Amino acid sequence: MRLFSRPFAFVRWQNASTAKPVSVASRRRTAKRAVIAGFACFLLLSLGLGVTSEVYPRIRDPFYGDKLVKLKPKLGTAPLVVMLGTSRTGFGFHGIHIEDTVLRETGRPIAAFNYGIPASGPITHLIYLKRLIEDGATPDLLILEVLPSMLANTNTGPLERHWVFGERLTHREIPLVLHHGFDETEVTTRWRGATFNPWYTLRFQLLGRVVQSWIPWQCRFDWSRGTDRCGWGTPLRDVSTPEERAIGAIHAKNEYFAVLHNLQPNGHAVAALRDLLRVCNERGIAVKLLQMPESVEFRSWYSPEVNRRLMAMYADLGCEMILASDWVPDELFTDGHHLLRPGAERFSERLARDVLIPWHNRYAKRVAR
Amino acid sequence: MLFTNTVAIGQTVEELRRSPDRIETARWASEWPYFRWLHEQLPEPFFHTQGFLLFFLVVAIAYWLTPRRFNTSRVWLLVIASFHFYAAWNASLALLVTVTTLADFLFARWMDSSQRPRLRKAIVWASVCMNLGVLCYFKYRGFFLNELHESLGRFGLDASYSKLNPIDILVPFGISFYTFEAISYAVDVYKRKIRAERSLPHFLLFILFFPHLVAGPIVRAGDFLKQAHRRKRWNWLRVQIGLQLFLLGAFKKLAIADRMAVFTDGTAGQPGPFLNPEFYSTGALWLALMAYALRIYCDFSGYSDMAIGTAHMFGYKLARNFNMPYLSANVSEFWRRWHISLSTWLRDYVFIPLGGSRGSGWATNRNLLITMVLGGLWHGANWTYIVWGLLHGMMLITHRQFRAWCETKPVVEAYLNTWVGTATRVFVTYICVSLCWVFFRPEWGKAIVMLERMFGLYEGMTLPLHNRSLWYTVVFVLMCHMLVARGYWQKISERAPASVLGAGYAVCLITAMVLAPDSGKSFIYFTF
Repeated sequence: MRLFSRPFAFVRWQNASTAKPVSVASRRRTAKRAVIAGFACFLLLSLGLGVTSEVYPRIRDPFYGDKLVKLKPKLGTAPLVVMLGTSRTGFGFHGIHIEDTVLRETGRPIAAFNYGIPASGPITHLIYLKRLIEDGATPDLLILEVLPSMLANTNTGPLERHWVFGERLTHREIPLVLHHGFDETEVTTRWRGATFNPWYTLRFQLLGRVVQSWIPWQCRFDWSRGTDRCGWGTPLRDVSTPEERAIGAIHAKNEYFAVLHNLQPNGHAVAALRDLLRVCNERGIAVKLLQMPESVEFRSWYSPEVNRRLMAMYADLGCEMILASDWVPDELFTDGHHLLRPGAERFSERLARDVLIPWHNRYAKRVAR
Repeated sequence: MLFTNTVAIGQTVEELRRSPDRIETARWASEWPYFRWLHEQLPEPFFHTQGFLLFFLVVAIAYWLTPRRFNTSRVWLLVIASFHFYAAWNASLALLVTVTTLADFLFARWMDSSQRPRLRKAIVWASVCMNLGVLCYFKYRGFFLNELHESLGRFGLDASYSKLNPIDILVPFGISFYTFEAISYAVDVYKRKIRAERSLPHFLLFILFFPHLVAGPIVRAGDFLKQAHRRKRWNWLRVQIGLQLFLLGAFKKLAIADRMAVFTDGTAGQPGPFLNPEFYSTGALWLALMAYALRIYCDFSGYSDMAIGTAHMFGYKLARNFNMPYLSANVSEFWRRWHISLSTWLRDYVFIPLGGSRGSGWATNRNLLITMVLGGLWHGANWTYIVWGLLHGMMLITHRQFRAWCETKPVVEAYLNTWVGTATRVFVTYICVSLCWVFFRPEWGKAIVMLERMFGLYEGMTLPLHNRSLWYTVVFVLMCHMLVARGYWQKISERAPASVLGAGYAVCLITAMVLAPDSGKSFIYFTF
């Protein structure tokens, strides 16, 4: 008990030359207790964070959790429109602009929220939709971005497994990703790492809360924190030069061309998309699929055969599909598929007018009935 | 311009991705299932990996459970563990180290039993040549053959062999360290400073002991063998001190050195200023140099601390290898604080045998230069390391001359000894030593480009990471140095209650884990 009564008394030491030397016997006694206390402390802190991160997914997956914090104040204020998608959605769906447009045109408010998450696909969206429902944030209308490249099914499983790691998932979500083709060993190893060795495995999530600038951008999880109150990841610039767009297009081509040219939309990713639509159907959530705007060059990377396959798949899903690929001119992109601020405004304006206002009118009538 | 840079960076990234890793897999590991399994468990001989911690735990438990009276069994246990530690990386090279160690043992026994001076001399030369031969074959063969190839080519002659790619040459980890240990042992036995070791396991342990096997500190037989023969009792204080040193080393490595590596070597998408200096601005290059100075210090001293801590937990005290070298007020002092085990080795086995400082001023300067050039060559088989050693030799000579001049000028000496003078000297020494680090790498062209851009006013890219964390780290390291230099650290560790110390250890480990960058970086000195 004495250990805890005056833990910092040692700070008031005397001058080194006059201080009484510490006996070896006393140091040996302290040594044993210090080593044991060290191990106990480490285990306790690790266990504490492991359990807490399992209970509060915001720690493990700030992409989801930070946006949820911004979404919560909007709940119950107006019909909730959530757009789930990738980084294209993140930069393109300008919630504030949409809310203003709808209010101006209809006189009735809506709450529009951007749930665009980088490198996500149908499996991530399915997990996030389930989390939103559990967290009491069930949308009235779900706009779901379909990124065709994410529908590809490789020999090693869905593409998403390269970005959605076990440490971002809770234990209950593991069966879902395993069912959709994720590698069991990889997922469970990383989940175990996050639970039993959380300070190391979740270091970027934790560090990103305190000092984002200390982390290389590839490892950062603070994407959702920097968004506006409607979840929009504001693009840093309003214009891009033709040279910058050309460089961006080269990077995009390296990343997407091979996948898009021979795309076979099937397998686990498409199954996850169907599951997601089924969940929406069961919960009575209105849902619309949307393919985000792309530049002319980007669109040319889909072969005619791939376009046919995609159209057949969209028709088979039995859900309204919005093809927004040609809504925005080339100069409003950074790299052929991520929108600049004016591009986001143009896309959001058209989305509001063509899709959301008609839906909102129908919704209002239904509520009135 | 931007487009060209992007394409060039892309090419560099691609080249880096394709180049084979410096950490090679075991050659016959693929054929022998046991060694394959071993390699999977412990793929890298690094101390801060989960694999090593498990290995250490198993060995430590077995070691301390072996009764005290069976000291030789304990030594055998450590020898076998050390062999496995090395064999997990490369089994054939582990065998090579063991065989050369056996040969050194036999040479020394023969030398010790002989009374004929000529025979003794022949034996010591045989032992030294064997060790240097192995070192040259693995480490310097490529360099010398390539230089010969180029020289012959300049005279229009055909070398009749193709140039060797340095990446294709497999250099055994720690070869420079254990070669120097073996040479010092042979020389000491020859000079009758020590008797030849009679027990084979004890001698094997002297060379193969896993904490110091791959990157030092370079131990001396006289210090180590006495400890190996002593029966050791379990002691919590020993464990605490060992653990403390290990944690300190892990913190230096993970939280500082690896973090600084992001500033110097960059990230996966952006090669850093030390890899592509031609793309970076002058300011970024100076900051990167500061980061590199911090990185190499924390990387190597962190490794040494972990090695000393690990050995301490088995009851072995290894020599201190670093003593806050960047607080040195001159280059001479720097070499008394930096890589102490190497600098004392070079002093005892190269500088003093050459005549030391007993001869004329010119002879002393020549000896200093030869010693430092050899020290540079010890680090790596490349002209850049030779230039690095040469620069340090020249700085030592300059300091010697300056000191002699100051002795005739009491006013200057008095000024230099004030706190302002001392701070200035520390700063100048730090800058000089840091500038020499530019050459501490295999690529000559990159070093020249970096220096050229550092002393011009060039525009270019900024550092791969925001430099705020660099400045915080510098301030933190400075504060820690002040704490240690003023003796506060010693007082804290001796007088703090157990609960505070224990919490401190846990926090230190957790902080190191949280600050570790995305992928573990290899220890710089492992390649030497």
